[in-house]
Amino acid sequence: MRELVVVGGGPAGMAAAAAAARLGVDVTIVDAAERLGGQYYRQPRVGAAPGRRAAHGLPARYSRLEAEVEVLAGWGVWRAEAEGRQVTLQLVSQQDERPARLSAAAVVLAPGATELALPFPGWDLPGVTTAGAAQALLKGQGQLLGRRVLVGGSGPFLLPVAAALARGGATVVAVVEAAPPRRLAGVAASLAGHPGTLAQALGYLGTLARRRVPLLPGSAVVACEGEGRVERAVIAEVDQGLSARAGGRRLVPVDAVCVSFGFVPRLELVRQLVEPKGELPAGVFLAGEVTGVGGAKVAEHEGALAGAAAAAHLGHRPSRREERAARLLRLRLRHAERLAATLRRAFAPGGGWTGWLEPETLVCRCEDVPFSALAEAVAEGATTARAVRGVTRCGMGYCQGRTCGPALQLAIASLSGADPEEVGDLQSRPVALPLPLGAVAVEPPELAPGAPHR
Amino acid sequence: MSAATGPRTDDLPASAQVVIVGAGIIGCFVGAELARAGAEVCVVDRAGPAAGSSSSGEGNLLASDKLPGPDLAFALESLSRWRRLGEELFARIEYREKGGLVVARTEQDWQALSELAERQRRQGLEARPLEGEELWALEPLLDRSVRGAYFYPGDAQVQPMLAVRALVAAIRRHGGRVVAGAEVRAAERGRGGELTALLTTRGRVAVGTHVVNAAGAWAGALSGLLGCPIPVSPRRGHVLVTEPVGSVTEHKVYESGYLGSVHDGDGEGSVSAVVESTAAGTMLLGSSREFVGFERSPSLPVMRAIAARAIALFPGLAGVRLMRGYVGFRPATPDRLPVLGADERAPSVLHATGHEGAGVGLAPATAAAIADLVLGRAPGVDVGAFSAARFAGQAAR
Ligand SMILES: Cc1cc2nc3c(=O)[nH]c(=O)nc-3n(C[C@H](O)[C@H](O)[C@H](O)COP(=O)(O)OP(=O)(O)OC[C@H]3O[C@@H](n4cnc5c(N)ncnc54)[C@H](O)[C@@H]3O)c2cc1C
Repeated sequence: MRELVVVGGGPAGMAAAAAAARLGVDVTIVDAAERLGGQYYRQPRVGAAPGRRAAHGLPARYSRLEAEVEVLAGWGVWRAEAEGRQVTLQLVSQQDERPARLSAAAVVLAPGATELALPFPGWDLPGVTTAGAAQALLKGQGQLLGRRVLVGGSGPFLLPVAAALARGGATVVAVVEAAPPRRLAGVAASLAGHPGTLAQALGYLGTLARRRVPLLPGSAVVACEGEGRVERAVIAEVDQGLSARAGGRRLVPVDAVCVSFGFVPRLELVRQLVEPKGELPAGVFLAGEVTGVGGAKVAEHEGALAGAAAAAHLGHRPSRREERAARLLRLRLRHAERLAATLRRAFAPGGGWTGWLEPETLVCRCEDVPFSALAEAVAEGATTARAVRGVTRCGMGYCQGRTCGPALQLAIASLSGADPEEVGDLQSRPVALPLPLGAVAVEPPELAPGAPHR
Repeated sequence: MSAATGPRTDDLPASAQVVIVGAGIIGCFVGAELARAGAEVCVVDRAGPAAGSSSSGEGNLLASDKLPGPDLAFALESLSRWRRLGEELFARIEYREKGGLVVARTEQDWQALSELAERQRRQGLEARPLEGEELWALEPLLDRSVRGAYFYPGDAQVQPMLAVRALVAAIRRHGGRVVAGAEVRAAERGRGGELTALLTTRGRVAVGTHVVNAAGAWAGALSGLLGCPIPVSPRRGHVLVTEPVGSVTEHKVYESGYLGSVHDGDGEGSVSAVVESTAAGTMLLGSSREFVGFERSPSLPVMRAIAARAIALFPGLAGVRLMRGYVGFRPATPDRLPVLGADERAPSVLHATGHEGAGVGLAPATAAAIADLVLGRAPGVDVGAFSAARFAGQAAR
């Protein structure tokens, strides 16, 4: 049995692992990706030519992490269960789909978030993707999505993506931000107390300004058009609820579009652990986006605190100095979390986007479910995501609603006037990631410490 | 596209001739049958249509797994009613008459299965023995070590949530109501002790002539409220759903051990292989039976056993990906047979529940029987064997 297993090798997971290791805990990190870093510190793929455009990998404070903790890269966790004083994780190798088991006296869950993709007519055309996918392609493979790229959606994530694409050699046609100028001004004002974040934002804005990339607030990419691939983006002005204003649509020639409306916490493993008893079992700690989307800095603070909490749970007493550090960290977290809350409010998408859709716009791309099918089910009285899924198959395909689930939830809320909480999500998944039945059918061995992990 | 004007849920009426509690496949089938016949019906559900077991099971319409006697007779009647619903509806509810294949793994299983099938045949169920080449021709990917199988061409399948949706539309078309978010919490009684109204979380509804208990796995609690407790308990089942694959099998294939696990008296935690494909190309793998209350967290050992047994039947499944899993609760009585019809302890109550793992298949015959009772028609379906009286004094487990 391991002492502490950290699920997720992004900013929260790495910070948790580093903090716990510093306090003397034997730490294991597992991550489905082949290298540490997560989305934010995504490292170039193993074996990828270190292209000029690729990101530079981990920050210096984590450079020794791989030597200090056990890193199980390339292992996905598909199920988590707690019994007594032990948490058991079921793993599946992402290389050869071999199953394995990992048990631990404590676990930090830091599985991060997935992008919120809101559909629009033409979002399924080749060349249209999420901002995160465009960034991953650039960081992981050093590749550009296209030469003339439009970045759209809403939220602070658009700036780094646009800046990176521009630095990487793309012509960024525009950054189309749905939040109205008034709200952006409010955000800018609240950055005053956060010099680091402010400097970062100014850096991105400078990069974009030098290349004369226009910023279009209060606007949205409401459709994409093209023959066999995206050729034009349709931009419209939107109100603060995301409803398109009458008239004034513009067609912009592009060869790629990437859109993001923020992030949705990945809750599968948390739900699996919480659902049996209705509460998080002792010895399980959460960090990062699963606790509410807050970005990399909040995630790192939370990770460090979760790592320290796990260490305390395991009986590793912190020194005075470490206690002082934790207190300071808690203050920093509170400060960073205030900004995160402001950002969440400022960039939360309204429900008006459903008005951009054509009846035949696909919401679920695995099962080809058009928007009209959802609207019909809601009109008949289906009010929960689960009920609408049952009669439309939206979210029943291979991705199991990982892509369309959040959009489905928000669409139902928008159509019925209900609260998204009441509509519910599709994240209660007993199988957190697909794996061969042959790997499910056996009781796998505990992964031996020090075994070759890849 | 303009935003819709909000979902449709009917208001709770002040009164209704027949109040049906439970908008699952049973309550909705009963409601549609009665509404079509001109009765004033109101179906109430604490959640909404198909929120209970009818959305967390499968949709097989089976006669093959029924034991000779009233059980099989009722299933044959119900399946013939499903068959008569008509092509137009079939397309909307994914009705497929795909046939069932019951597989015997050992010589002993084969003897038992053959004997059962012969008795079923004498009662009018079509069943065909298949061995060797004939069997491999029908089911090329089946494990070659199985002893033999019986093919039941009449077994069929629907998508229960789509069926419920069609039934809800039919109820409304005929002037009935389907009220979501109305949990029945108490019953109001008149001076003579007769049931006069139901008190729900959305208000009071006066009962005209009848209350139908179609509360599925929760029918035990509801029957208590109604003054006529019957022993219905949740019998949990797991279903594993694979990624969409080509045709591993076109039929519903299950091992003959399944029959034992359905009909046994007390079996704790039994698992037997049930493998089938759906219209969407996914495979559904079952099945398990456990009494663990309404525990919603799936059990890993059960999931593992289901996967292993399915692979033993179709070795090619080992490489197919598991995509999803869920659990559901079968409304089970001590003898695994439904409870249908009047209850002498509460004259206006009609039970329509306790269908265990067969509520979808048995819904049309159930609806016909209940409608006959409500409308005072000569009974077209014999439900004498399913009276609540057989459980006098027994409590739910
Ligand atoms: C894993 C599994 C596989 C199955 N496979 C099959 C199959 O292949 N073929 C088949 O025929 N059957 C199958 N079944 C069984 C079938 O699902 C059930 O028999 C059937 O759904 C029961 O329908 P119902 O309408 O009685 O119950 P439900 O669908 O559960 O409906 C009962 C409703 O009553 C409501 N309710 C309860 N109490 C109250 C109250 N106090 N007030 C208001 N509302 C209330 C609930 O919200 C619920 O919606 C399976 C079941 C499981 C679990």
